[in-house]
Amino acid sequence: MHGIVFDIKRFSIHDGPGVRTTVFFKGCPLSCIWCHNPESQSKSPVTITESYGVNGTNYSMPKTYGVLYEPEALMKEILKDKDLMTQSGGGVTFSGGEPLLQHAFLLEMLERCQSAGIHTVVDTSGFCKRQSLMDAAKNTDLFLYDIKLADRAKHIEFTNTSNEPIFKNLKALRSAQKPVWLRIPLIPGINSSVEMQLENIRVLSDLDSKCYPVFLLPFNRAGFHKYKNLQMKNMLIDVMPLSSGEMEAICNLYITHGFNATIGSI
Amino acid sequence: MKTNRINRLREQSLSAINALSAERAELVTEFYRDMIEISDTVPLQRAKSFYHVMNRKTICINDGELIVGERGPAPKATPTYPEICLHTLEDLEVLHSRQKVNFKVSEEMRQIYEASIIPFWTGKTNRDRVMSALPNDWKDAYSAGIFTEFMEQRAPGHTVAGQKLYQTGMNDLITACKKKQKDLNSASPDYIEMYGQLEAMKTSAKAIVRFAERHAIALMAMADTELDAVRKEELMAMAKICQRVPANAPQTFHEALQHYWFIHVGVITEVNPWDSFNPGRLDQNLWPYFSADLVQGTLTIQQATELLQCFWIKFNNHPSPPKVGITAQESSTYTDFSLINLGGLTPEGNDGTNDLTYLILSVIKEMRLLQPSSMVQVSHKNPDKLILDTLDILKTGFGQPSVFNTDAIIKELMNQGKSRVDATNGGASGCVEAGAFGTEAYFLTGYFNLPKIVEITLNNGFDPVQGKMLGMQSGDPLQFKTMDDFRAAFVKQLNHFVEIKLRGNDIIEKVFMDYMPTPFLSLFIEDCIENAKDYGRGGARYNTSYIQGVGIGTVTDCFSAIKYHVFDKQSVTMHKLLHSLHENFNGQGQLQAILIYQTPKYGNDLSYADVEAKFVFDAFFAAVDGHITPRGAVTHVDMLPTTCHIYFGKVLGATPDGRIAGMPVSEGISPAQGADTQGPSAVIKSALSFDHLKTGGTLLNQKFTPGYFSHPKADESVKDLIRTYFSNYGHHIQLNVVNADTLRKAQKNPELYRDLIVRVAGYSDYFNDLGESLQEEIILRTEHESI
Repeated sequence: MHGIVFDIKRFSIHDGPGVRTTVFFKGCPLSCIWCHNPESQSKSPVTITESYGVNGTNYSMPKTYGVLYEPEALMKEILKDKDLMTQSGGGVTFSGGEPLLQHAFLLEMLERCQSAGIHTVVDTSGFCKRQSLMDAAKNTDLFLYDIKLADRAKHIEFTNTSNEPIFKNLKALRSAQKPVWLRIPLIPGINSSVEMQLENIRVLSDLDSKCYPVFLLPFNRAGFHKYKNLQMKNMLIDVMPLSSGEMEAICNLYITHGFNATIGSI
Repeated sequence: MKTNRINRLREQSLSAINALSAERAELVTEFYRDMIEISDTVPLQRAKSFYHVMNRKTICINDGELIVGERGPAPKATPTYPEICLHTLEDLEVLHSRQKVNFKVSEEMRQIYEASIIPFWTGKTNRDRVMSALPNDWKDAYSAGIFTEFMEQRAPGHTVAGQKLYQTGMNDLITACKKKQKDLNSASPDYIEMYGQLEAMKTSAKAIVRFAERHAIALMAMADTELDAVRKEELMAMAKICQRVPANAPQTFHEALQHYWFIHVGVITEVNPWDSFNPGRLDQNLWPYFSADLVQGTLTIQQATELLQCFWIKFNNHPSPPKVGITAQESSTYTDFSLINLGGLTPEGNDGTNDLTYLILSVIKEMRLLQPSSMVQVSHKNPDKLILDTLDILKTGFGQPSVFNTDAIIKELMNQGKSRVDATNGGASGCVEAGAFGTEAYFLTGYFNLPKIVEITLNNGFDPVQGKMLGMQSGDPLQFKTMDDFRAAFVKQLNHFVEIKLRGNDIIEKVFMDYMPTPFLSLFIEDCIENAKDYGRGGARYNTSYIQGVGIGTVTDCFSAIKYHVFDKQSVTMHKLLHSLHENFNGQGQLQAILIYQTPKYGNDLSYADVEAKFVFDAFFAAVDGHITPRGAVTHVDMLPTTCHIYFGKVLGATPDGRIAGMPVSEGISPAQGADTQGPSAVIKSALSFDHLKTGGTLLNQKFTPGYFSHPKADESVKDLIRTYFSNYGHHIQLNVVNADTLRKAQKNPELYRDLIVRVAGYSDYFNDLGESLQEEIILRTEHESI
């Protein structure tokens, strides 16, 4: 058994409690137009030519995104920061891409981490098979659950997928009483309007999700330069982030509707 | 809050121009020319010379100050030490006009030097004795930049006050010397020497009492003419303090500070020790006075704060003595490395933090002065608050305090044979050097250029930079069949040069033993009086010498590059590698890029590279550790650079890690510039690939941007990083919060800044991984955030 991982980031403080090692699984069923990890979308490894600067001259060298890992080898990487995880109340976060797309490998990793005493977080788009999600839930301490758009048509337009399974799965996690943190990226012009966010609030309220903390993630342009290397088109190249005032207004919207919302991820 | 007085004094200190003063040189010359008694022992001659200086030098009392005593006639007026190292007129000009770390030299001083100082001391200085005793192989290796030498221009120092210094007056010390003189066995062959040493110590003690008395007289005179009633009273109170201390042990907080300060000025006037002197565990040492005064109502927190601030300014008024040549390159700074220790453990081994710890931290934060340096000692028994309050200062971009592991320091010192109590009363001085405070004479002898050994190994003993055969023949690298062949050749060259350095150390130490005793400093380091032996001759309870290894990151990357590309992957031949090094990668940019970007490097928690760090460290340790010097000191290793990694890079050609000729080597035990790309938790793991407890100190620098700390979890995460590093016995970590200027440089030379993490928008990323426009955005933001 193996999984495909496109990056491992250590000392992460943005993907759950404490200090974490975030493992990014390759492959994603969504293709959000604001994606800042476009290299994560295809499931198989991609090799692209990147330029490396030395003394002001650029040299081209191939770089492969996507490494095959046996569970044992990936565990070894995760365990490297075990002391820090223990010290900080952190752990491992499986992110992506969509980690549940490689559900068998994910389940294996979750089980191994739990038996090694490592706190587990799964960062998911929610677009996955119900059974995979519920299987993963057995060995997952916390889900980071990404909500983009409650509006069905817009969701399809901007992510290439339906949001129906996403909200159904969220409901299933609620029934299973699993801890969830909701993460909502605010993309200017796409879901940043008051109407769009009110729609999110309405759907989330209907799903009895007010008990979940909400993290509103600022739009960021990091990773946009990768589109060119991947020969992908970036539709949002000229879009600038919301002002902090606009962010706060949206945040207050959630708060007035009874959500525990903050700006930024922890 | 700073009072008006403090603002004025701080401003005076900041704007004072670093200048040389001829006063000490003139007084010492006058003594040795006209007043010396040939029948006196050398220590007594030194003591009388010291007395003459303290009795005659200008008394400088700055407007409004509460702690008095200047080494020179004015703030930052810096004396010279011609009996140790004589500056020529050319040296004076260099000091005067060089761009960095200059000292203004007046025309009058140059004339004095030309007329009396230079004619008297030429050929008679300690440096002359050292140089004439050193063999040629030492001089060749020294010139090539294989190692540096701390005691070429400066006397050994690196010693720290223990609690006892505060509990003892000069009268007590004189009594102790007298008693010891009586107890000496006159039948011992060492009797005359020991008796003379104690006599010299008594004279030195009287010299500092005389110095204090002169301040008392001057303060009374000022009080007489002072019109401001408040200041008049202050001056009278200060005069009274100067009459009491350091003759008697201090009884109040104010007296304790003044007591230490007089002794500090004495130590740095007697000789030009490296490093200056150090009040040690300040929060511990001052606590009895602070708490008693508060209870009695004779001191308020505001008064204590102001006194500490005055104390801080005194340090800042005293730049490191002038350094020239290689010595200036290895330590290119005005800092004289008086490293204030806070936190740590009590002698009983309990949490040593107290209210004074946090008060002093607030003083550090407000004063923002280059000197004194400051650090916190963190044991697992200390509260998180100690680290978090320290981070509060660090994240403002002020590079202090640095953070040390008390638990590691205690183990290091005990490994060297110190008792648990003496180890627990220790800490770090200088940059990062562990020591038993008040009981140890630990000499740093010089830096050792580990990457240069790679270059010499790859050239079979030849130094391509100097164009000279320098080492031994360790084998033609083209004939190396395996990595082990290279490793064995490296160890041969390493042992060869360490041997040369150790022999030189012995010679230099003996010159200092015979000609440059320090009877004044000997008063304060136990058991010099009890042993009737000078600090520089092995009189202290513990005697240690160090050689400081530099460039472990660079040397590891060189090893890893050779192993990976030449032997394991066989993608680059040794011949091609040597050729491109010889050509300094001219026309070999692609190979250079591969060496930089596609070599497993130190700092990434990769055992492939880190085993080489351990190999090099263990080889260096084996070569150095355990050597016994003439004074009976045991030699150990330290891993720190000051600014020597710049100098060592200058004398080094291109290296297999892709570094071009002349560029700096890695500093401390930090990864080579930009080599670490896996974040700080990977860095600390690599840094732990060798055993810090075998050293007397290691130095690890970790960069963060100011923006990192805007995340609500940032402080906690860095605190946890420190705790994790320390629970695995890392010795020290310095957090460097980088500014926009650094980001600009990173944009220009991304290969040197691959480790740079910046905060983007709600998350962090590597600066190099960001597109140019986003980099610009962050630079602008960082400029905005930086103070």
